[in-house]
Amino acid sequence: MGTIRVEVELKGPLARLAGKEQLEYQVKSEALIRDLLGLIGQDFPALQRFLPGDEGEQYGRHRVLILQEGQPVKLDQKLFPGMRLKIMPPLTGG
Amino acid sequence: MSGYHGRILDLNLSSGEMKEEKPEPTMLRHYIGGSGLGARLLMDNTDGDTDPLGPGNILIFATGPLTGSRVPTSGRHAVLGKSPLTGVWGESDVGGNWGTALKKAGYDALIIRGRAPHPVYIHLDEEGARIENADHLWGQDTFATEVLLKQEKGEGIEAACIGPAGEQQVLLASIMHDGRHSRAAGRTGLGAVMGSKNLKALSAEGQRSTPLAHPGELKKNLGEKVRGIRENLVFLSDYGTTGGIISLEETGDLPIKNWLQGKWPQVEALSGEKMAETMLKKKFFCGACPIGCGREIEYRSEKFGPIMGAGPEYETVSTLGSYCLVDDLEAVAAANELCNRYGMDTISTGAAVAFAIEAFQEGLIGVEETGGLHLDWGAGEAVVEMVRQIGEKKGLGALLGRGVRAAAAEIGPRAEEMALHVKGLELPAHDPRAFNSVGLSYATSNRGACHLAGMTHALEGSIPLPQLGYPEIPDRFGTGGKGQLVARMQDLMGLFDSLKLCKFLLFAGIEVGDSLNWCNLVTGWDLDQKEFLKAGERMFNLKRMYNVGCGISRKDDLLPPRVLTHPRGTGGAAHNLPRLGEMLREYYEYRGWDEMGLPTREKLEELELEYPWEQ
Ligand code: SF4
Repeated sequence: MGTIRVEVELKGPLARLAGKEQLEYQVKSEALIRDLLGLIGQDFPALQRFLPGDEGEQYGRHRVLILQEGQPVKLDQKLFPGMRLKIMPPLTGG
Repeated sequence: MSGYHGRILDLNLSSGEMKEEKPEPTMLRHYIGGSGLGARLLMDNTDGDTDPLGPGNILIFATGPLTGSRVPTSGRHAVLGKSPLTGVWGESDVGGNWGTALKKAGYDALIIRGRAPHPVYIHLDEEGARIENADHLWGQDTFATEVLLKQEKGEGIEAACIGPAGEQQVLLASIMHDGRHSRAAGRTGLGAVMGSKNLKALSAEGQRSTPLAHPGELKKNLGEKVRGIRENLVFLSDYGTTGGIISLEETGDLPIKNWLQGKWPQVEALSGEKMAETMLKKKFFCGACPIGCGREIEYRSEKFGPIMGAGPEYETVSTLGSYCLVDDLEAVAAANELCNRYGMDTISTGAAVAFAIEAFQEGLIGVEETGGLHLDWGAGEAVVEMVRQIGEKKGLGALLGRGVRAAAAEIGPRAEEMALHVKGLELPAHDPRAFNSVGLSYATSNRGACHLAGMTHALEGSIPLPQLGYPEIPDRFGTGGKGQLVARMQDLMGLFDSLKLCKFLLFAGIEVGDSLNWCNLVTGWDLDQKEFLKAGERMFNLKRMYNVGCGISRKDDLLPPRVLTHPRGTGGAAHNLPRLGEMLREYYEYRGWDEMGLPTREKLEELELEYPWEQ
């Protein structure tokens, strides 16, 4: 079973809490976005409370916005080599 | 009658007469409360000929069946009347604590008629209502008015009031609640209606609890739900409504430079994080809310002096900030405080200032009109000064205070394209070019351009709503299916406004099922999803019928040309333009309206609404 490299950009307070904006991960080739979030939560405990934890949360919709090429992704989506994700504050607005 | 006290107070300020009405159980089941109940009352008491600023208009304050219960975010109420800004349906739904106080005083709703011969305020408690002299309050700003009312009536009261803008019948005036926390019934100029009645304020207090049909079951349900709501809305709680502004900019949803620009990296300067670092004193909560998105700020600015009260919300940092290219949070917060003190809608006020800046830049108005002020993009001090002029109804401010539609009509045809409104209500801070459904929602919302009537940016942006029929996030740039999507969301949001729930609950996964369940647990009804959603549809159609009576039809279900024809070329929605005609056709069909946008007889009969064209 091989591994793939993916990139994550943290935006706004999430970057400040993690202490960095750009992250790179080498993950198992079958890994899902949900698995990647688990790794990010382990590496950056300050982000843990903002990362979706509920199994039923398809999009991680509630706590943060996760985009790939401007579109929201599902947590059960598979990662692919070179995938670039942005993790941003939720789109609550007013 | 669980969920209600069964008391609507009808108060005539011209005669001082007061009477109490007991709402029929069928009416409550049909219209629920808040916005829906208010719709029925407004329809029954005013019409297309009513002068919004005349004594014949009424002002309604209506709570919902959940108000006063512990259901999360239910400490809300609706304010309704015919709008002097738009001339059609006027409504504003507001949080804070005043609605709970009205319910605890023992009332479900309040109808105010007539015009007092001199300034008055109304005090409501469990012993009844009293009309009191308000000569000493007239001229006070909203912060001072609350302080004076508390000195007079005791710290336990909650206050709703107008500021100087409402007194002078500025058409952008709002009704403010909770003093410095400035929870606003902001939109559609209902503060001017209150001013036209010589009604300065309403104070309310009481201890009556809302009767609950199934208190044990409700308590058990809420225990589980509240934890989930807190966990899912942690970002909103930590950073307030401006916490997400960088994401809104990223997706192309943030309007920039009076809707001309697609990207604006300076947005971080206005973020909730920036506010937290510089000005935040503490957060605050509306009644029964476990989230607390309110920001109380305290800051000493070298340019603007002390700044205090509720910090600017997302809509406000957009309209007074990005609309005007102002990236100075101090200026935005100072302008926001002025709006709160004068009692003005920050959305319409900021939009009017952005309109004026563009008109100035294009040479349509000059320093003669602005009183020597240079209205440049990004000029924070000029924005603050312009807000002051609007609040004091002075100079160019007097014209802008009538809204962008009226201002453009006066300035001339070239100004029309700079005036972004629907049915006379200025566009709020979600761009229809980023979410097609938002365009359709603005075009069809009963009060004019309104993001809250449909909240469809939430669904197209990030939240699937499986119980409403949307298990996947719809393509935000797609056109097909948007008629149905917008209609369903409007019906559901009407129910939230009637039960009195905050729409941020959507972001915690609260949608049809939970709201229906809470409704039944509180009222003891046995509504199923079909009847529940039908009530939402009924309210929406009733409001439409009100507007039809005011002359509204297909010709008014429009969007400003700029958002229909001007792709911004940069940002997260660089090239998209909403195809309104296509979406509107599908919307009318789904709603059962004819091609002119009028509800058909069959549809009205199905909804048990009167068909007005019989004779
Ligand atoms: S989330 Fe914010 S606006 Fe909604 S009820 Fe709570 S404090 Fe009020």
